[in-house]
Amino acid sequence: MKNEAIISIRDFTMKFGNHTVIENLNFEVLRGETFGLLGSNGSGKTTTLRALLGMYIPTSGSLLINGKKYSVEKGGKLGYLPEERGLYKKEAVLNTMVYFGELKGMNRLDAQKWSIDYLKRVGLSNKTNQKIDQLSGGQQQKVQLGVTIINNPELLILDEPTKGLDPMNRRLLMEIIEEHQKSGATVIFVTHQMEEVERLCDRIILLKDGKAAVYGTIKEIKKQFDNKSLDDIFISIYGNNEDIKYA
Amino acid sequence: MHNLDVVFKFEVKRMLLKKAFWIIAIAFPLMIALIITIIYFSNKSTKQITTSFKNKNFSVGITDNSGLLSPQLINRLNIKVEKTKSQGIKAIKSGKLEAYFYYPKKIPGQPIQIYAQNVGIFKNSRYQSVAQNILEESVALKIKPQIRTVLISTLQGNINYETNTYNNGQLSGGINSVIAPGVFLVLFYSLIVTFGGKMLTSVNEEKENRVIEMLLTNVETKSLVIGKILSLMVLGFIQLLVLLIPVTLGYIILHKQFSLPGLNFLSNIPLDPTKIVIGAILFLLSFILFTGLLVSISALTPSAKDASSLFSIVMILIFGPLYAAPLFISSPNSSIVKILTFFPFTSPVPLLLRNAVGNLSISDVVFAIIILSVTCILVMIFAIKAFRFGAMEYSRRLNPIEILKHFNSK
Repeated sequence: MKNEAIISIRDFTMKFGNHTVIENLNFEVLRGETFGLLGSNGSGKTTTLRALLGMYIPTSGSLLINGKKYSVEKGGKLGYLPEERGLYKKEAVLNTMVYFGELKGMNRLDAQKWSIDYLKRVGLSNKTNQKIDQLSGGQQQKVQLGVTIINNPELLILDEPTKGLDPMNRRLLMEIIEEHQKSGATVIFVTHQMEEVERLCDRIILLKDGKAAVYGTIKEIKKQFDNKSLDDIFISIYGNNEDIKYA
Repeated sequence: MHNLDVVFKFEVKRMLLKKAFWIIAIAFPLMIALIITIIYFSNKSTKQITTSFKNKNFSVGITDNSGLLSPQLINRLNIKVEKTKSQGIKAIKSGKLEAYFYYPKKIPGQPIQIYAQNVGIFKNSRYQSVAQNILEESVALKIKPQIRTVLISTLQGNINYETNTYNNGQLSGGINSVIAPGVFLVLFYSLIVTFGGKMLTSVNEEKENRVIEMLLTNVETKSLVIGKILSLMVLGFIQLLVLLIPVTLGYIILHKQFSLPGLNFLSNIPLDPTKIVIGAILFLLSFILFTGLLVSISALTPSAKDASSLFSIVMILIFGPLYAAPLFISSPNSSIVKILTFFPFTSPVPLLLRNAVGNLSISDVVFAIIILSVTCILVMIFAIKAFRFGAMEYSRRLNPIEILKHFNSK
């Protein structure tokens, strides 16, 4: 099933008033791969994900998951960790996780069991009945990740998942993502950390001013840029006004 | 609707588990119960004092310049007669008497003066009860027994009246006929007052907490909004029940204490099925309209705080017509009444009130229901669209025109 596109974005343009955020963007994400969606702040990464998930209506073009426009009812097993993320502050940790589990189609008991196991794994087993706002920022982020992966998604979309995490928790989170990779899930990964990209991603797209600046496998892209590191490639692209390069 | 039940259950459960919900729900009936208890015990202590007075545990002196008091009663109760007011006051100061009442020449006109030992704010009220009792019983003894009975019943509010009025030759229900359909107006008002603010914060909560994006990939906007509205309706009714149960129990137990009619007065309330059904429909449409407006406001604004100024406008539109209530009853055909009745955003109160008092014609009802229904549908569609497209606007107030541009999108 590899090489079959799970996500297909064609001629996608997004305007807010007179401001064009994305212009004629085209790329595909293949089933089972880990795909890096990269770019500087304001380059259109989050807008692309929101439009893909039906939260924004594109000005033109098509954004398809499994060949269809995304709908909650027929969206399949999807996990989305947005950039702007939060949880019900006054709700208990376990109740929050179970609620999201039920929304994702799990039965209450399964959601409860999974949540307890997960909280144990991430060192929050003593926080099950605590309210979200009693947790530290990093602890809240672990709960948010739990909510995202509770239904063992086939498609995992993570918008800057490691933002604000300490090195230990970052490592834990990377391990969890790698487990999903190994189980065959497709992962879309937005990050500014190039070492994370090198560690996890099969292919990447780098957006600049709403357009694709580079697109392809890491190996191909590096070859194209004289085997520079991804950090250097990133800096060189944002330092120059080079044309789009498709590897 | 996908996941509606999950959203509904979650919203109801988490609200019921909040201490604040129960504090708000219980505080008001508790306050009423406290006031009733104070009045009850105050009355009870007054009665006990009167009884103790009758059992000669209570020394009283009087001076009667009115000539209304019965000498037989004064003798029977062993009340000491003081010749002058100054003697009576002296007896109080020296502690020889516990209470002294001075009955002036002109009753009514001049006050009956009471001088007594201080026994505390609540217990001091016993003196007035006793002074009043002596006067009432003395006067009653001077009139014929049958007149006395009628007089006492009148004073105690135990006389029943039955009014029969006619509309175009048909017996109308009088003031009692307003009660059953009028319940819907009270219900509407109570729900909005207790839950308006909560609805606003509840709808805005996801945006403020930044949980909205995680939710919208799992639940449709329609299910989320409708689940919230349904849960708030259920919670509103729970809060009303919490309020009504102690009030009803208090009424059953204490109605005699306050000379209120017993529960049998309920049988005198006419139940006009047409007015009740119309009231129920108008109530439901009004509630949907109101909640739709609140959801729209929440969706257009980044936080509940930002929404509060728009919320005030909605409250003025909905409840402003209450100030014109006498006009709805006395001049139902005036232009201002017609405008307020048929302009959808001001219509709930005039419609519910006019239905209760019975001056809403069938053609008015049909016209109003059509207008309200169409407005409700449009407002709810707008609310859901606004919620969907306003969800990602974390710091900006949206212009309604921006939402209207997306009206045809799925």
